[in-house]
Amino acid sequence: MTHPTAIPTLVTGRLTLCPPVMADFDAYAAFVTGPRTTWMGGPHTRQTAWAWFCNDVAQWHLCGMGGLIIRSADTAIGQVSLTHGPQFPEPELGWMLFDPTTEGTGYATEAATALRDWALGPRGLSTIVSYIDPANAPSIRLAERLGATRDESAPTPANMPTLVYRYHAGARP
Amino acid sequence: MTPILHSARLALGPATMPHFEAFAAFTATEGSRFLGGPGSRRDAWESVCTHAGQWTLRGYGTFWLTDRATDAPVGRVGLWHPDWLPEPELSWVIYTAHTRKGFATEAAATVLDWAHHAVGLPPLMSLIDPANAASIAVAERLGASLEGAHRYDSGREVGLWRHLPGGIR
Repeated sequence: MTHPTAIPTLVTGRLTLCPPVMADFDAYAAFVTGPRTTWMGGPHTRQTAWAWFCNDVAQWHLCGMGGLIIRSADTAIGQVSLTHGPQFPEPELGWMLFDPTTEGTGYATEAATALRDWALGPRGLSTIVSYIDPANAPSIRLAERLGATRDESAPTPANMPTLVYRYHAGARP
Repeated sequence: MTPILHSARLALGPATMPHFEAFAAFTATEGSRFLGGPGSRRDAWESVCTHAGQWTLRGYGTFWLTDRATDAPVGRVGLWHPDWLPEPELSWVIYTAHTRKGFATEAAATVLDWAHHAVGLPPLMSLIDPANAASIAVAERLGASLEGAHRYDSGREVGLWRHLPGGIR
């Protein structure tokens, strides 16, 4: 079945998390094809970027969750996503900032917090996870700041060496 | 979102999980070679989602085909318009067990009509591997003519077929 869930727009203190539009693709593709996707098996081709971009839109219709573009003022600075589908055993919270100069600003934490709250609140999920490369220390710290804890018994996606960090409804910092 | 269209024997609509399962079964086989296959189940999921997401981003996209008599998923036909193509491509895929029944022509004619009258697109094109005789036959039945060649970034060259203005009617 398809999910009638309208794609939400989430507003935080400094950011707006918006449904993706075509105009966001160039910034997204520049990131995916650039050197900062080491933790995601990159750099990747522009074709892969297009597939991912469309996939994270489509998941809203197929799974009632998906990707949102992080905007600061009118600029697309990153993406947060809650994705599922056959390749992930559970709904997964992920984040990316397109430009290294925005690291250390707390934007990723702010955006991921808002999507986590939406997932465990209005969306009604009791638990979600983040799949994180064991060497990706900044993302591990971010997940821990959001109250996630290591779940060593959780299933992992096929062919993906990853740690599983778990979030629970009602256990938010 | 994807509208639902009907032809004499087919329903054309959005992706559903049964369509994904049928597509994944097809792309696991050699029958999917002109689509870049065989591919994994994960590749199939990514393809289904890519086409579904394009509807939101472009306002048009791929329809998944259901045989109205049996409810069987039989393929997909629609407008593929990734970032790297300058215009939408009318493309068709019919799963091996359902070929040679005229489903591709029937569905593509329905989509041509919809693209022209409901969306207002100019005459569409299709990119077809010169070795894909079955698809070339569909293009010819639809009244398309070979306009030139298209070269993908990979270097692979395919025929660019131009469809008639206003669909085939």
